[in-house]
Amino acid sequence: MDLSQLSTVLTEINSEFDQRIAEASTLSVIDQLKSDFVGKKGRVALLYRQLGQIEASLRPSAGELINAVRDRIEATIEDLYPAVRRAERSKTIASDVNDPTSVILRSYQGSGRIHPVTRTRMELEDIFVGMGFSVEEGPEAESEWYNFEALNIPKFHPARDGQDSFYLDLDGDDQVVLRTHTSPVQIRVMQSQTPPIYAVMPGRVYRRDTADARHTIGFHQIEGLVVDKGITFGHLASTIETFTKAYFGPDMNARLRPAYFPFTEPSAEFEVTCTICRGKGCRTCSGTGWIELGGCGMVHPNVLRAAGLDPEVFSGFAFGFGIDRLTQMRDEIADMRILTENDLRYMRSI
Amino acid sequence: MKVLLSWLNEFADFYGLADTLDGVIDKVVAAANGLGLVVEGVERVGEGLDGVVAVKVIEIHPIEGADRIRRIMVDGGMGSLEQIVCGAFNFHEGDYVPLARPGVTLPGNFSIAKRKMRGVESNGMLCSARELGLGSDYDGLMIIKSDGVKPGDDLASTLGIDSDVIIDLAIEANRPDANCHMGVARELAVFFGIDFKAPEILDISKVERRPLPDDFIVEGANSLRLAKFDLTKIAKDRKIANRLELAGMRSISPAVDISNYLMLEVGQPTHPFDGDKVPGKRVRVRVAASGEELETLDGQVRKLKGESDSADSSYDLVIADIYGIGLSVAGVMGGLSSEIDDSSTSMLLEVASFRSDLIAKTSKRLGLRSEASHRFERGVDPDLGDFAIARFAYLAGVMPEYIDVVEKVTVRPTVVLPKSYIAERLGMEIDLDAVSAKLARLGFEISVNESTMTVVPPSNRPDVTVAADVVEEFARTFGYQNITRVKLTNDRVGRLSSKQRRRRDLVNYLVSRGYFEAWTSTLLSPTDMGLMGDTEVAICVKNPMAVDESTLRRSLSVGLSKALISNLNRREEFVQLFEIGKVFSMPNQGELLPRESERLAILSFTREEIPPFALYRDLASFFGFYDQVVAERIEDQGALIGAGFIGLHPGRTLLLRANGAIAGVVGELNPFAIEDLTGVLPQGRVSYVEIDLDKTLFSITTSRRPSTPSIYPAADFDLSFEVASDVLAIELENLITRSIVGYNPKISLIDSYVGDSVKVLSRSLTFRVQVVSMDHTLTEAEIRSARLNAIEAIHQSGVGKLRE
Repeated sequence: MDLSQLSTVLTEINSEFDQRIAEASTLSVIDQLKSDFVGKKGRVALLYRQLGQIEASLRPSAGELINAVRDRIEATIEDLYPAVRRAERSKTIASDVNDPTSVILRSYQGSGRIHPVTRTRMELEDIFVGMGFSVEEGPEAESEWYNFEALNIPKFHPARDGQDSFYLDLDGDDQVVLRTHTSPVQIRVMQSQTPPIYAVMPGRVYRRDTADARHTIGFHQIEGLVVDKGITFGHLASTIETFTKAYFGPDMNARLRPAYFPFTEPSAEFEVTCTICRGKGCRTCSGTGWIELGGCGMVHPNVLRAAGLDPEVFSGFAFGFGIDRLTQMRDEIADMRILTENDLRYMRSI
Repeated sequence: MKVLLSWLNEFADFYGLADTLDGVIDKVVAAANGLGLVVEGVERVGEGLDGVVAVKVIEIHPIEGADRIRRIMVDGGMGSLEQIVCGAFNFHEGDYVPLARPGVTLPGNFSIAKRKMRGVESNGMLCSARELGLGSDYDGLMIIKSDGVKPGDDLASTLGIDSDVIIDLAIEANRPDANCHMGVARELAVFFGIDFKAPEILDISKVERRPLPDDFIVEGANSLRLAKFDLTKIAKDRKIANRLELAGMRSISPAVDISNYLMLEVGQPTHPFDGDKVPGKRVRVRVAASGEELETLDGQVRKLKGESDSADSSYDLVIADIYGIGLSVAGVMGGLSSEIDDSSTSMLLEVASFRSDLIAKTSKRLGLRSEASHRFERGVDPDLGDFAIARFAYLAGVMPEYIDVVEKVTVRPTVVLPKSYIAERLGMEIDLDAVSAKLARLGFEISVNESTMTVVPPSNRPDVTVAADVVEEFARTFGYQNITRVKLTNDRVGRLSSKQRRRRDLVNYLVSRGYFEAWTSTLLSPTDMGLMGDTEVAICVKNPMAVDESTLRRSLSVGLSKALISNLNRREEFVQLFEIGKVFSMPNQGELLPRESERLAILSFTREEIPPFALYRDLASFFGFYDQVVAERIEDQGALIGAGFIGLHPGRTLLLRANGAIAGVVGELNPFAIEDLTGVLPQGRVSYVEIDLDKTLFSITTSRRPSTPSIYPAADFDLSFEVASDVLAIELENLITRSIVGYNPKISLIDSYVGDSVKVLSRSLTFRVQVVSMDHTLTEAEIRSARLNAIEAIHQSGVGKLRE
C-alpha cells in the first residue's frame, strides 16, 4: 500500500463516517460508530496495523494521515455526544409515563391526624405564648381545697350546684374530686411563682352533667391568669379583645357584661362577635350578633389570700373558656360525642 | 326567672320608653343584659286572640271515608249551629272549646279561611292551646272550663287573658335582689333614669303586734312573723292567678296564690298555715331532731338532720307548733298536716328570714328545690317582713288581725375603701358622684371624705361585703362597655416549657407516621380493667353517673382496645391510634392526691405488621432516651400489672425500665384479653407501645453530642450466632457494641432464622458489624481482632455460640 492508496482509504473512511454519523441519533449507534471506526478493532486501527506494508520512510507521514482522520472522527463523536445524550434522555423521560394517582392503598396509608381538641389547644397556647404568657398544668384529681375552698367556693355555695363534681373513694381526711375546672391550677401557680404572673392553664376537667347530646366524659378548658401590681379591669377588657382578634380575626370584637363567679369580683361573661353571621344576627346567636364564650373577672381578694398573696399589694384578672366549644364552633360539630368516638372515618376527614 | 313586662310596668313606666311594644322590648332586653340580668328568652302571649270565641259542642258526626277528622256542630251564639271539621278527639258534646272563624288571624300570622275537607265545609277552626299561643299543649283542643261561659263569649275576656310579654331572666347567685319583679324593675328604672314607685300597701301600723319570746327563734333564723288573716274574706283574683301561670307557677287557692304572687313580686317567700290546724296558733323555729320525720306538701315523708348528725355542723330548721310538733321544713316546703284547704277559714301567714347557708344545705340534702328555698339560699332581704305583710294585706284586701313578732337586730355591713380604689381597680377615673347617685337610688348609702369612701349596701344586697364588691357595683352601674381598655404590656417572653415542646413534637412525630390521636375515657367500668387482666384495685368514683364510668383508668390499653374494635366493627382495615393522657393509681402513703402520670400509648393493627420494637426504637432514639432505657423480657407479670400496664401478650412484649423503675411496655396486646373486653377477637396481631412519659420523654434528655464522621473508610464483617429462643437480639447487639472499643461500631441484624438446620439451639441471628477509626484506616489485623473480641464477648456471656 502506498500513500495515495492510504489517502483513498482514509477519504472513504471519512465519507463513510460522515454519512453514518449524519444518521446517528442514539448513543448506542454513536458507540457502535466509535467502535467501528476508532475502536480497537475498528477501521482506523486496522490501518495502523497495515502501516508495516508502507515504506519505512513514508511511515511517519502515513501515521500522521491516519492520526488526522482518527482525531477528526474522535472529535466529531465527542462533539456530538452531549447533544445526542440530551436528546436521548429527553426521549426516555418523555416516554416514561405513569398514572400517579394509581396508589394502591395497602402500599401507603398516609399520615394520621391530631385530635381536633388538641389542635385547638395548640392554637390557643400559641396565641397566648405570643402575648407573653407561659403555659401551666396541674393534676386532674384535686383536693376540694384547691378545687373549691381556695377559689372562694365554700361548701354548699350555690355556685357548686352548676358543677357537681365526681368524688373519689379514697381514705384520706380530705375529699378529692376530679377537678371541675382548670382554676385550681391558678392557685398552684400563685403558690409556686412570684408575680408578675402571666399564665394560661389548659386541661381536661370533669363534671357530672346529665347525659345528653352534648355529654362527653370530661371536657377541656383553658384558663388565663395575670397577677401583678396595678392590674386593672381595663387590662382585662383589653386582653380579652386582643385574644379575640388574634384567634377569630381582626374584624371580630369582644364585649363584657356583668356576671357572677365566686372567684372573681367584679365578674363578667365575655361574648364575641358571632362567627356564623359576623354580627348581623342569626339563629346561632339568637339574633343578637354575639355568642357567649367564657367568664372572666378580677381575681377575688379571698382567692389571692388563699394562694398566699396580699390583695393590698397585688391585683389580677382571670378568664376561662371551653376548648371543646371553640372546636365545636370551628368545625361546626352538631354532636360533641363525635370527639370521643375515635372514629377513623371522622378523623380522616379532619 | 320569668318576669312579665306588665308587672314590671307597675313599678316604673317602661311602656313609655318607646312608641311600639317591640321598641320597648328591645330597650328592656338590652338594658337587662348590660346589667347582668341575662335575657334567655322573650315570649309574647295572649296576642292574636281577637275574634276567637268560646263555642259549645252540640253534635259530633263521623265523615264517611275519613277516620282522622269529624264533622262538629257547635253553638257559637249566632242563632244557628255552625259546622266545623276537626281532627281532634279529646272533647265531648257539651264541652266549650275555642273557635277561630274565617277572617281571624291566629298567633304566628296564621289566617283562617273557609275550606272544604272530604267535601265537607268547615267554617273556621277549633283550636288547641298551642295554636292560640296559650301554652304548649298540642294533644287536642283547649277545653274551656271557666264558670259562666256562654256560647259566643270572647275567649280572651272569658279566660281573663291580657296580652303580655314574658321575659326569661337568668339571675346570678349573687343577685338575690333580682329574684323578684320589684328588684328587676328597680334596677331597670335606675338604669333608664325613670321614676320607680314602690308597690301599694295597707297601713298595718295600727295592727296589734304581739312579741314572741326570744327563744321562738334559734340560731339560723333572724326573724319570724306570724300574721293572722280571715280567710273567708280573701277572694280569688283572676289577675293574680293569670300572672302566676304566665310566670310558671300553678294557681292553687286565693291565699296561696297571693303568697306566691308576693314572692314573685317583692322576693319574700311566705307560708300560709291553716290557723285551725296549728295548736296554740303560734309557731316557733327550732332545730330538727336527729332523724325527725315530716310529711311535706308533696306527700313525701322527709327525714331531717339534727345538729350532731355528722362532722358537718349544719342542721335542718323546722317550723313547729308551741308543743314542738314539726309543721314544716323551714324555708323549703310546708307540711301536709297544716295545709290550707277549701274548708279552711283562718290563716296564719309565716314571714321569716333564715340563714342562707342552712337552707341551701337542707334543700340539697333533701333533694328538694322550691321557689322559696331557691330564694332563701341566695339571701332574702331580712328587713322585708312588715312590708311583705302590708303588701299581702293590700293584695288580699284584708287587714291582718294581729301580728306575732320576734326578731334579732341585724346589722348591715359597712365597707370602707380608699377613695382612689375604684379608679385603681378599673384602670380609669369615673364620675363617682354620678354613679353614686344611681347607686343611692338602689338603696346604697355612700359617703365620701377626702381619702375614703364608706358604703352601706341595702339590706337586699347581702352579697356586697368587701371593697371588690363595691368596685363591681360601680363598674356595673357605670357600664362595663364604657370602661376604657388599657393595653397590657409586659416584658415577659412567652414560651412553651421543654416538656410542652417535647409533647408537641411527639404528637407531630406520631401523626407524620400515620397515627391518629384518640381521646378515650378516663373513667371506665369497674370490670373493664379486670377483663384485660388487671388484678390491682383501681380508684373508684363515689358518685358516678353510670357504672360504666365509675373507675379511674390505670392504663390506656382498655380505651384503645375498645377504639380498635369499634373501628374494626366499622369495617376499617388498618387502625393506627395513639393517645396521650393521664392514668391514676392509689396515693402514696401519707399523701392525699392519687398518683397521676402522663402516658403515651400507640396501637397499630395493620395488614403489613409494623414491628413494635422498631417503632419504639426509632421514637426513643429520635427523642434521645433510647440509650437510657433498658428493654427486657417480662419476668414478673405481677410487677408489671402493679405498675399499671395490662392486657399484654406475655411472650411478645418487652418491659422498659428507666432508672430501674418500670417505665413502659413494647410489644403486642393479648388478643384474648381484647376478646374478653369487647367480645371480638382481632384477626391479626395488635402492636402496642405504652410509655410513662414522666419517666422517659419528660425527664430524660439525650446525653449524646453530635459527632463528626470519620474521614477514614469503614470496614464491615458479619457474625452469625446460634441462640436460645428466649434470648433477645438486643442483648447480643449490646454485648458486641461493648466489646469493640474505639471503633464506633454500628451493628445491624441482617438475618433471623429459625429452622431444622439449627440443631442444638433453636435460632440463628446474623449481625453485620461496621467499624471505623477516627484517626487511621483500620488494618486487617485490627478488624480481625475486633471480630474475635465480639465473638469472645458472646461466648463468655453464654447467650450464643458462633455458627461456623
